[in-house]
Amino acid sequence: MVKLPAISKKPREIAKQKIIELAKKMYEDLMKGKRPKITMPIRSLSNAMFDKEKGSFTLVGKEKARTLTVNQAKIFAQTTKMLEFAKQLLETDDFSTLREAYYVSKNWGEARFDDQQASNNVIEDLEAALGVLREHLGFIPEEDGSSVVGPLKIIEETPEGELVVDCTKLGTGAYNIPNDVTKLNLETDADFILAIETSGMFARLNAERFWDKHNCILVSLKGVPARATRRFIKRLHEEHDLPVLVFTDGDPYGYLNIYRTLKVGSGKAIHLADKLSIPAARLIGVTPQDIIDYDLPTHPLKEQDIKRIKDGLKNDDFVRSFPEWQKALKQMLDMGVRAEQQSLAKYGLKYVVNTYLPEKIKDESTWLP
Amino acid sequence: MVGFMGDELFKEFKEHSVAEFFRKNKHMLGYSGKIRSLTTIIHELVTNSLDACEEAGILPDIKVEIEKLGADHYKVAVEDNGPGIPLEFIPKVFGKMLAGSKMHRFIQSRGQQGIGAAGVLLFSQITTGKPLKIITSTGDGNIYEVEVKMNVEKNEGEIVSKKVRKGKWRGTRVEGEFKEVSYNRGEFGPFEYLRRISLATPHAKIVLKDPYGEVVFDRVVNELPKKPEEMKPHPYGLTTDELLYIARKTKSKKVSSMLVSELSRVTTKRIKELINYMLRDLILKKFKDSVFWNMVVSCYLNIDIESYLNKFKDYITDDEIETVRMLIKNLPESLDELKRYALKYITMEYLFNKLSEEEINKLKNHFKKIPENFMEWAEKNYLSATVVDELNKKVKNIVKNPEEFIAEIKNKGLISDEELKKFEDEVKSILNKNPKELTWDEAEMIVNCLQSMEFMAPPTTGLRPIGAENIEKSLKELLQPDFVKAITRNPKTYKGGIPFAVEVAIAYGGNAGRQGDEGRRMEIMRFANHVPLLYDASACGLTKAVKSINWKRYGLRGEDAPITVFVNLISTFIPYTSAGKQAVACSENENEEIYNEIRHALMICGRELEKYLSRIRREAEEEKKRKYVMKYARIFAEALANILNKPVDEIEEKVVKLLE
Repeated sequence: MVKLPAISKKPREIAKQKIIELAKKMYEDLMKGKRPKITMPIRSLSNAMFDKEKGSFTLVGKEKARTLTVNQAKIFAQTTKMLEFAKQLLETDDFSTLREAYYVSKNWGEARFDDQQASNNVIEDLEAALGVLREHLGFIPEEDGSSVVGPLKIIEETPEGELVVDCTKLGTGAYNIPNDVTKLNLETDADFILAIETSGMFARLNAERFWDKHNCILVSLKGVPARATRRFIKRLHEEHDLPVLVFTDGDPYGYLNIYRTLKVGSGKAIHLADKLSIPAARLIGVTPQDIIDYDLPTHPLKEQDIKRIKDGLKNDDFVRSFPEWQKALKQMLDMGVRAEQQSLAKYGLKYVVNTYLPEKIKDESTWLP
Repeated sequence: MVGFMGDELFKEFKEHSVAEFFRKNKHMLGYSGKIRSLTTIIHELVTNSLDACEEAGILPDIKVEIEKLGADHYKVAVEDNGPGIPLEFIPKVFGKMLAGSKMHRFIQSRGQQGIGAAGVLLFSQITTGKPLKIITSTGDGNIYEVEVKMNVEKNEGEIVSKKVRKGKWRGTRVEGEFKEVSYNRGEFGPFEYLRRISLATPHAKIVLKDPYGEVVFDRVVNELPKKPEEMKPHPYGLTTDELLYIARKTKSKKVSSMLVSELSRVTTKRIKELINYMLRDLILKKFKDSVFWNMVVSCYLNIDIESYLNKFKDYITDDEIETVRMLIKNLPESLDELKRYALKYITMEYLFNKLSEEEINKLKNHFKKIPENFMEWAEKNYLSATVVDELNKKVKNIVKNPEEFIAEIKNKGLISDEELKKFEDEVKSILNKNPKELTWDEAEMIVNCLQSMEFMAPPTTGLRPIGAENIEKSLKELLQPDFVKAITRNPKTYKGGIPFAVEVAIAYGGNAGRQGDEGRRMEIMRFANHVPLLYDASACGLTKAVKSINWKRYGLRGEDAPITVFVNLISTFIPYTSAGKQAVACSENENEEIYNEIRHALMICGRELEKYLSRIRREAEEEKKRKYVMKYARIFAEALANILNKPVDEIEEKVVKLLE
């Protein structure tokens, strides 16, 4: 048994420290007769620039300040109450889902939230203002993560003692990534991670024990990956230096929504780009060239697919930073077709396990960045 | 209308007994319905008192007593501090139906019917058989107490008893008993009438004693208004009857000089023009029913109606063709009506040029409509405002000017120089006549000719508004509103020549508005020459003008608001919709000058109201916000104190200081 790294405690300790710092600053301002304020980076694309070196979006440094004025008194009180609540969560080693946080506010009198979106926004404000992930503040997403299987041990400290899950011993099932991965310790000697778009393909590869044959961890994405899934993969990637290979459908949604979110982050959480994105991820398939090379059955591109590609080519800094992606998307546009992962079943159910994936994993030149 | 009623009344008098006539026509004079009859009685007596006081330069002090004697049976007394009535005038004031002091005068006045006090006497007489009791003194130490009855044969008041006593008092008190009347303090009765007239007469004090108690409508202005000035009638508002009345009274020796001295905007130069117009009328009259008539008409009109009839004969009805031919035959009297058809045909011509044959055939049925309906349809579907303007202009000018007409008639050889000379002499002889000898036909011709000439609008200096400041004082006193704004607009004219002015006011909050089941609603107070109009509200153009305003734009939720809208129309001639004189005829299409003026004035007041309401709202919001903010201050202080383990109050104190 490897010694647990202190990684799960530390971010929470840092978060608590930052909360107190911010509160102190406000208090000092007040005592000087100055209006307290909370500054935070602006969370919109206008404040983001794609850093090709880093392979992710970085903030250009635009900030907004929330100052205690008559007009902002309500939101200021709410933000401070949420700060207090976060400190409480950290001190009691507890957590709260976003929805729970919203209901907790119902006890704040006039400062209560009338809808959850406003409450979520304040939590995101704190996330941005303090520069820490909201999970480290004790706020966990509503949504849990997806499934994992492979040579991986997940070790969790519980009141009943240490709990170990061995992801090679789950039969036909898989480990379900929890809402918050902060408290998990991960131990593995895998060679790489394979992230798979659909649960169907994940089930096929698990059934064929693909992870065993190739010494890899399989993670399903279930569409656009949830925050918990992204953090889980990022931690595996960073803590164990594992390459991340991604296997999606051969369509614009697979490329520009699923893969792109995993790799460079989403537009919504721009301030977290470097905390959630995995710039080292690579798409191994299904690429537009695969459709030709493997002569896959196709569907015509739908109108929104065409729109998505054109928009990506024109406006997406990510696409514009990679000539390979521009080429691939133009190629798809010219072909006018898309292909699903499952279309490989044309050559038999085991073809994807025995032929396609081994070939693709071996030949880096067929990947997309 | 006044002239018409007067004549009709005179004729009727000769044929029927006065009492019978009154019984038949009393509804036209305001005696219909029990409460309304009583209101009319009060109205006649109170306005007489107000007029008398103002005439004599006395601030009016008026007492009204209403006493219930039995079912639908009341005693009424109205007392003033006016100049008193000399004994010999009493039978005239209370006897003659059409004493006529107010008729035929071009002056802004409260009454316009000339029936006033006599009607009250008659109503008392036919419902109770009792005389009116008049107590009056001119302040000379003699107080007369007389009883007056109507001598129906002579159409004259008759004193049936007379007492004199000594005393220091001046004024007039009229007492009478009436049946078929009833009283309450409701919306349409004497109480509301007095409440409103006091509003429009801020210099009067009116005390009402009724079966429910005593109410004082106090004086809020201690100055008498300037008297309205009599204005000369303008040709456009003139009727034949009025011209004859003027002719009987004038000091001028000749008709032509009478026209110049008695009418507004008529000058010696315009008389020369008038001669040509009259000449044209005479020539037309001569050729009437002759075989040359159609030729004469073609000299008279700029357009050829007959050719239109031919052109459109498949589209219009035979009846219509016949009607129009009759109208041509009856020119020039039928000119106005003919113009309606001319407009239709010019419009049809426009449509025929514009639309394809196929489309025209689809519309076939519409061409059979009478001109008004046809125009309404056409305007809605095909005509832009500019086109409508152009078409109207064409029709306005379908008659050639008299010089052209005479020249053409001569050219065509229809008339010789000698004949023309004879007509000219005839015209001159009419204009040189002694006005007293002017006949109805001659007067009618002069009026018609004057009205086809172009005149400047009359001066409007004689009108006497209540004054915005006085209206505001009155409304404040009566309603204790939170907001009041009144405006008196400058005089203008309608129908081309009748002067009018508009006063409006808005009172909001307090006792403004009428209490309904679901809170206060908009109350509209209408006045014509300072006299309240209580009845026929929905038919009245003043109401329509108020309702046409989109009140939501001025910060109201609609008509469910504590708001009183005051509208006073002042004019030398109020255009009532009917003889009942309770509704003014004005709308978007009729006397629109009045309608638009009221709307305009209301919108100005409305903007002020809007400013007031939004200020109130803003203040309320700010107060509310301040309260809230202080709550947030506490919540913020608690949160910060908990994070840092500091005392709450110290933080809260600082925050409150920052936010105040």
